[in-house]
Amino acid sequence: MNWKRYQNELVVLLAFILMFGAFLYKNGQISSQAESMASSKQAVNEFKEIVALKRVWADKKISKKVEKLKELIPVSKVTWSKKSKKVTASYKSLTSKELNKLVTKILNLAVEIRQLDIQKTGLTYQVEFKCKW
Amino acid sequence: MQQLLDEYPSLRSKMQRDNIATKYKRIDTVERKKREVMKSLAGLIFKGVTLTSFTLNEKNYKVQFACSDAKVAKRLNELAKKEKFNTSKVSGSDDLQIEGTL
Repeated sequence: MNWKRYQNELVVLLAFILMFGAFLYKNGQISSQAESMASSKQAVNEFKEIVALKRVWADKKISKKVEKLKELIPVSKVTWSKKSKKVTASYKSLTSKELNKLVTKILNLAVEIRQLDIQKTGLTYQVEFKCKW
Repeated sequence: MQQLLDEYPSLRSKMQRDNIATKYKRIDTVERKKREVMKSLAGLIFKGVTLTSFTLNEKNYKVQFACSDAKVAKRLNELAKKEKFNTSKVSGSDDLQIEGTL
């Protein structure tokens, strides 16, 4: 076989092979770059989520915020016990307005509710509340 | 990412981040569920309905409503069913009991 006769075709074929190889390489680079961008974006989002969760559920000011549950209701109606990061509170003779105020406050506090008991006695309510943080 | 790591050096370790995420995600899910249940139950109170007892702990909840008449009780039952609560009538009265797990 006379290779010289097909020299031009061979050069063109080689050029095509090179172009195809470059195309595949470029494609691979683009997709791996996109993949790495997506994974770092996901890592950042996860990090931000952890920070947000920590900010809510490990709030350093939560102890002070919980104290407001005591101040919200007249002292004579409250029995309060706080040990470390746990609170046990009893409320007696609450009006429905006071009960609403108390429950709304509890719902908006980032604490773990261990127990919440509400009992209606006559026209007033008795509440037992246990939480931790 | 580097900026975040510099801002929160305590979260540098991936293992620590995973532990924190597991711990707080569990708390977040459970506590949000408790609050959602309480808000939904509060939404069931309308004229003629009075809350007589409510108990919620880490696993389940139970609530009892007193209704002024059978018509109110029926409407409350329908509303509770719509909210997908498990209801039961208290025999000999127009009271309605709702209980469920968290």
